[in-house]
Amino acid sequence: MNLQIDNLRALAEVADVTPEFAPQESVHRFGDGLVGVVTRPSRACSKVGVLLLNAGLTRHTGPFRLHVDLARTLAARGFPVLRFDQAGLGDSDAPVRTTGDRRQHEIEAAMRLLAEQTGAMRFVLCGLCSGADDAFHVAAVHPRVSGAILLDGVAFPTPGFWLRHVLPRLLNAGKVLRYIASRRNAGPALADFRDWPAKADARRMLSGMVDRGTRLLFVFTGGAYHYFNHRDQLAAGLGRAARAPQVALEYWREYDHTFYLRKHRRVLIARIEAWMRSEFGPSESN
Amino acid sequence: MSAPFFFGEAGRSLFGLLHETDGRPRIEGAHGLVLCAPLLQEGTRSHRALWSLAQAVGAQGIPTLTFDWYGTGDSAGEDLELSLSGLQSDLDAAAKELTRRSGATTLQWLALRSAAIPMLAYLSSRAAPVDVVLWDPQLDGRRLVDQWREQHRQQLLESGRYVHARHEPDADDLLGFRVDEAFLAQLRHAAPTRWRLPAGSRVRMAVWEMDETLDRFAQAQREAGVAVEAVLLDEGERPEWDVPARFGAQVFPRRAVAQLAQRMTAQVPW
Repeated sequence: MNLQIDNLRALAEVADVTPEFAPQESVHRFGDGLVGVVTRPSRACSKVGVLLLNAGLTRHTGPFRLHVDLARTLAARGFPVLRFDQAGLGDSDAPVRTTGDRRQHEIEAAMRLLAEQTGAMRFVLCGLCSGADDAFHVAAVHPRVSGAILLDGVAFPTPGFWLRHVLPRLLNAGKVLRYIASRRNAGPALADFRDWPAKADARRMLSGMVDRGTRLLFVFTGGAYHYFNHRDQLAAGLGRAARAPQVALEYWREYDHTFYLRKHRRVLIARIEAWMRSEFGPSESN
Repeated sequence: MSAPFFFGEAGRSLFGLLHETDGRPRIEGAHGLVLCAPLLQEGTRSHRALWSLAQAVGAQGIPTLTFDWYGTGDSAGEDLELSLSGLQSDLDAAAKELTRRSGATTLQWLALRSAAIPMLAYLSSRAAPVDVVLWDPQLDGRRLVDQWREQHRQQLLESGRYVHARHEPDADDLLGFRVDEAFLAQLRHAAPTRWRLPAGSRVRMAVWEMDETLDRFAQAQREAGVAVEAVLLDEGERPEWDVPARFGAQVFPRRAVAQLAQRMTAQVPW
């Protein structure tokens, strides 16, 4: 499933003038010193709630307040939303747990809070960058997660990726020299910043999610150019499950990683809103 | 320990976080501290540093409030609604809320970077002396707006943000936000170096480098009967505020945060 960018721009125009909606928001301290804000619909509330996860080290309000705008837009469409800070980030306390399952414990605490506050019974996890990594890991194992929105999330470079990535650069002497210099003073690599499973595990995880009926929206931007540069790469890296009907993919190569421009955020929010309504609309709400 | 809440007038609700001691009784007669975040992207970048400072000061018995300006963070409103008078009204609401929640009878104020402009505008209109800490303050409104515009241009054209395209931003886009031209005009015409705090006030400046604007500000305040002191921070951890490639990176100068916390809680003299 894919919506072309021109259609999305039309959606974004609509989204810009949408809702006469005064958000009903409440702030909470929950779990082990976590802080988050629940945005609830003013009318009928879907049983599908959305959790917005930290994008890297950025506070729960998201880059350029993306998460606030997204939460208020989705709530205007009937979906309750919780944006919160994981331990050690934003407004939340430093981590109490040091065990590897801290991420899952925190997201489970967030699900409980949203359920108590709004009656949500199933959840969609949404994250950018490391938030997408967290969403992928938890969505793969948690039975109450029905969907995940992964913005510049997991994908694996393939031979085709390297051809598309390297060939144009070979014709640019400056880039070749910079590459050689960078190999001499090798800084941190992509893997140092991301929390991706091994490729075989990721394929199994995606396949399991698809078998369970989990809906997934992958969005890749030009900001992921160093590991993703073609739509077909998703399935080439993650296997046939990536072509399943409930897996949607957008590749917006002209956009940047954090959606710096408002017009790009409008398109993103419109796409997520449309996807939520098509996958979890009123008929799905119970 | 911190407690989040919304406060302020109906229709202008603000997000706040009160940082206090963890279970221990408050210090009798302790003052409260209002911490003010910089505007636009620097507010996002420095959020955790201010949070940590607030935690450290709060843990020493000084109730400390961090909050989001109206139109920013979790507060109500849109970024387009930022205005100098609105920011001052937020400071007023924050002061009242901190006083109400903590029982503090006197307040201390701390502003980081561009937050110094609305804070000084607000406090210079007060009659009673005030106690202010300015952390790396930006006191030249014209230069501030010019720097913002230049950073925006670099983000669009030179930062490597757009690998495959050139984009035309919306007319009122600035640094990832929607900013009203009238607000920028207010900032451009702001002249904190000419504003006078009430006589008997105290200003402490924690800076990585003194410059001519800060010198002029200090001189003008002293002439008005305000005590001004400056503390130089460790140059080695000066944040790269204006480097385009670092625009999205968090700013956390650990030694400065620790140093400020110790001074604000009188563990170390200014």
